Amino acid sequence: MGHQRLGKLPRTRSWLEVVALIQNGASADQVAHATILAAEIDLRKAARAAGLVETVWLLCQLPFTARATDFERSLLDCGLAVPNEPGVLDLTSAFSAAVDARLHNNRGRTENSSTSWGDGHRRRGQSTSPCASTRHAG
Amino acid sequence: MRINKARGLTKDSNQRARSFLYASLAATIAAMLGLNRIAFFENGVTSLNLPLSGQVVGSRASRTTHPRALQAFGGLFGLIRGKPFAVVNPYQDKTKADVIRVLTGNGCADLIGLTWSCALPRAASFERPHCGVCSQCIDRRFAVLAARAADHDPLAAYRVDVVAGEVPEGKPRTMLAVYTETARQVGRMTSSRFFARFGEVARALPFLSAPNAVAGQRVYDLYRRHGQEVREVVLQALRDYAIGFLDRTLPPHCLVRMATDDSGVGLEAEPPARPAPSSAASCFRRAGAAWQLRFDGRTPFILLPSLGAAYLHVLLQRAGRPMALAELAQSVAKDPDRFALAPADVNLDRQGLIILRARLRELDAAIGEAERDNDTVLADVWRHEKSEVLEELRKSASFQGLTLQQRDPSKQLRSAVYMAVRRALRDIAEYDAKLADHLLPKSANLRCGNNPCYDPRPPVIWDTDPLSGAQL
Repeated sequence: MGHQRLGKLPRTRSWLEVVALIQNGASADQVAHATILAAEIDLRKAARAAGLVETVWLLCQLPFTARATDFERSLLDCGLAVPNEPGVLDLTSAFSAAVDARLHNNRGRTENSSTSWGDGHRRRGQSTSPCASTRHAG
Repeated sequence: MRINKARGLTKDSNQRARSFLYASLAATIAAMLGLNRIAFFENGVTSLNLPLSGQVVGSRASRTTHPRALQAFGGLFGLIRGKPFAVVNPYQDKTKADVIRVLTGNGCADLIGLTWSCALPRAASFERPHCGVCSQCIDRRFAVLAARAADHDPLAAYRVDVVAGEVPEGKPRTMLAVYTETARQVGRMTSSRFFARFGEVARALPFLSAPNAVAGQRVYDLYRRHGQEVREVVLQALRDYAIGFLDRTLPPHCLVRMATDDSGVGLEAEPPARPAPSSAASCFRRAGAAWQLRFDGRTPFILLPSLGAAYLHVLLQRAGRPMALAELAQSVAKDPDRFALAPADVNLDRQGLIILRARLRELDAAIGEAERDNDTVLADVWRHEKSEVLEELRKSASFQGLTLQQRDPSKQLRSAVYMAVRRALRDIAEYDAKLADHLLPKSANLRCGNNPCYDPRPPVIWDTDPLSGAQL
């Protein structure tokens, strides 16, 4: 029990332009610019997506917690419930739980927040794994 | 007990609520027997159901037996019964192939043929219950082949042979490709890359009854094993169908061919190469289907094909030399004959239209009179004539009621060229506002009218030669 469904890719003029630019070898700057134009409406909505706001906020807090003298305490203060001497997976679980706690009963869960949540995990994994491993070694 | 979802309940054929239904029934029976625990026997890969593709966001991957969902079921049943209740999954660390091995190892392989995996049950028939293209059917077939139990899962039950059948274009082909490709990639991933790619694992860890590090390692091992099984199945298929592959008797879009050539799917296709920049400070040249533009040594960019861009290109090529508007239009038109002069009697003149409209009024009156007299035959005759008159009017008059002849063709063409150029300049302005200003129609640099001409002062040297194949 459990299946997966592929999404429907948007076929608006602006998204087709993004695809055409990639096909024709446009630079990353140009593709990014066209993508922002195509996603403008969704990006405006994203500012109100609770999951995305929480993800961005937590990502912004992580560097400060990493610099704090009491790492665990600092994470707890941000709402990341981690055990003593947390590893990367403890941090990712706490991160998920914190974002999910903002979306009680899935209310307000949007594709934006789901995507940003996944992206947040990638960024968090990249930015904090050296920190967490160093702390473990210490 | 017979439970059926009414056909009209929803347009969606998914059955993601059925695990709750099964759990509810089982919990009820458990309560009747005085038990405080029920078990699902779901393989770990399907239970976690990590997304196969970036498109699979949120609930597009159902989590009907996700560890978190099972714990929530247990919590709910506990609240209802007023004492702790557990819903567990002893097969959390097994792949689907492992589960099949349990069946075959215990002499129950015959049960495989009685099971149903397809996620599209409404399209199923009794003889062919499996579509062979949904994620569940693909997973089932791979598991059966990996566990070497294909004899108990007849191919005839699949509408599309997962391994050697032609997979329909669109989502089915993409699904098969992402399934095999994800398994292949996972098989080569380090644990840190795995957890970075599948952040969703973090949601399950607190519910796997082990410290996060241990539970994470178990999930990673499970997926690596699953990836290895998928890889083995593909390798075996390549061996089994080697002759068909060589003889080109295999369908062009079957798994065996897609596994060896991903050009039709392009999962890891190299990004297209960027066109080589021009050595000139300013260029407006063909780069494949699009245009490469650069002005005054600034960053080059791609302009997508449009009529306006083609007009601008011709004008830049002929800088300083005015050209007739019709010649400009003809030089970029796919059908240059469109711009030949039309015979004068193609459309009706104003007098003809007045006559037709008067006839239309007469016919309306005649139809009304025939209907009042119950003369259906005559009414039909008038209606037929009315439809012919309307068709003639439609062909000969524009929306505003002007005859086509009354429009000035050169004015129309002038306006069309002007608008096309404006549209192209709007696109150019997104990337280089200075270039858009430089090419603004009716400016000092670009004259419009019946003899448009690009003639800037001082002159600008443009590279307008198309890029060669090697430069693309």
